[in-house]
Amino acid sequence: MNIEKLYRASSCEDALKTLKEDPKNVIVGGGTWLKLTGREIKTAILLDDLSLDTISTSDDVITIGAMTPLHKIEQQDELRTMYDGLFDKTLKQVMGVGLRNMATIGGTIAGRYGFSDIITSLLAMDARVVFYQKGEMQLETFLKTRGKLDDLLISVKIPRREGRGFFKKVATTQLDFAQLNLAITKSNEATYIVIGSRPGIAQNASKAARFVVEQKHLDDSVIKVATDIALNEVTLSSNNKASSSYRERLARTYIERGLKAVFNDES
Amino acid sequence: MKVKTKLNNKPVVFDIEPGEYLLDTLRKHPVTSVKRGCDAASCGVCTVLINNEPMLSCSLLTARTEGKEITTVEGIQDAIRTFYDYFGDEGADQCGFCNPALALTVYAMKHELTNPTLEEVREYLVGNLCRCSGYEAQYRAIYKYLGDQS
Ligand SMILES: Cc1cc2nc3c(=O)[nH]c(=O)nc-3n(C[C@H](O)[C@H](O)[C@H](O)COP(=O)(O)OP(=O)(O)OC[C@H]3O[C@@H](n4cnc5c(N)ncnc54)[C@H](O)[C@@H]3O)c2cc1C
Ligand code: FES
Ligand code: FES
Repeated sequence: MNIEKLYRASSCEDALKTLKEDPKNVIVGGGTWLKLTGREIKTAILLDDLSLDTISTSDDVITIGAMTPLHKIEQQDELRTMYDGLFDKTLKQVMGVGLRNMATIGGTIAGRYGFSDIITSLLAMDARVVFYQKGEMQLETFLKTRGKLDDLLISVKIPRREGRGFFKKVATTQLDFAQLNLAITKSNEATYIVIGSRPGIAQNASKAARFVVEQKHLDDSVIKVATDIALNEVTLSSNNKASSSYRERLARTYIERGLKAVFNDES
Repeated sequence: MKVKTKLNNKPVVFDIEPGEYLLDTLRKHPVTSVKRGCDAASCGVCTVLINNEPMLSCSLLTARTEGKEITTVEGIQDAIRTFYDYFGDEGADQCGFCNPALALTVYAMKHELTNPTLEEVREYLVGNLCRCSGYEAQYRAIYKYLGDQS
């Protein structure tokens, strides 16, 4: 990226004000994705002095500050083990430690990347996001927004729930983007089936999840119907990573394995 | 703009452009052990330690190292001398282009993980690409080194 000026924001308000001053001003998280885009930036706004890199826990949620690097999240005990280690497995499949010490959870969410593995798992954990101006909302609601994000992401909140989880990333090599990723969780509160890298951004197969919850037993015929419902509500397309028919084969295979893993204790 | 940091334990002041990346700054200073491979946060050969954590200098704005400690392989010579012997024993060296970054990552891993399994070692080093070795000899060397050190 080509940066004319660097600015260390002194408060969230200051950061937002500076962001709005010029369309070429941008917020920098880890800066890893911004570097790849090679964008022309007038003022790069650094949030390094705002203490947004902490993880805190209350009775019902874990709050991760937007500037928290991904590798730091892997070191948080509860997040490491929640939903059978779903989030930890996801994070560890994103490049190496060097990148994950820089890339932030805020830059991950704000980027709304179609290929994102992390967004898939966050959706399956029913995450909420907190913006300085727009306030708190479901991650799913934010992901449906389009255009430039004219706000400052402050934190992401993950409800503390006991439950089972399954995550799968399929890629040609360990460092490549996913051809498809999938996260399934089941807790007393909710069941989620989320498909990502479709190649569009991750999407909840909420009708399929509801259908599964309504069944008394999970057998092969239930799984088949649930998968059909999921593939009806979530569109899979083609790009240079995989064709839509290959993505469908992957989705069928891993939805079955995932549902069996979280409902029947088999993997 | 001026940035005050410590490079290999010595205080330094970098005079940089706002959009300058650490890899370019280090080359001017003149640290040549830090390599440029992809320049796109993908290969790991530009790894340095910032406050003992591995980061990719090709993608880290130098301005963000203000008040931090930067370590390159020149700064941990004593600690890694033994490590290189293990590499020699396993024939894990070929062109050596990836070695400084790998040594720094192993150094950080040794401080971060206690008695890691081979799987954990592989996982930690996944972002450090090597075009020559095929990795197996490297992993054997690193695993033996860690075992003997613990
Ligand atoms: C080489 C490479 C490979 C990758 N592979 C994968 C992968 O396999 N799977 C995967 O899931 N992810 C992958 N990623 C994405 C990675 O996980 C991060 O999500 C991404 O790099 C962005 O992190 P960052 O903090 O550096 O964001 P930045 O580059 O700093 O910012 C990204 C965008 O978010 C905006 N932004 C950042 N923080 C905020 C904030 N607090 N408020 C508002 N806007 C903000 C920026 O203005 C910018 O538009 C990869 C990234 C790279 C560079
Ligand atoms: S040069 Fe390849 S990761 Fe930095
Ligand atoms: S030994 Fe040549 S790149 Fe690793």
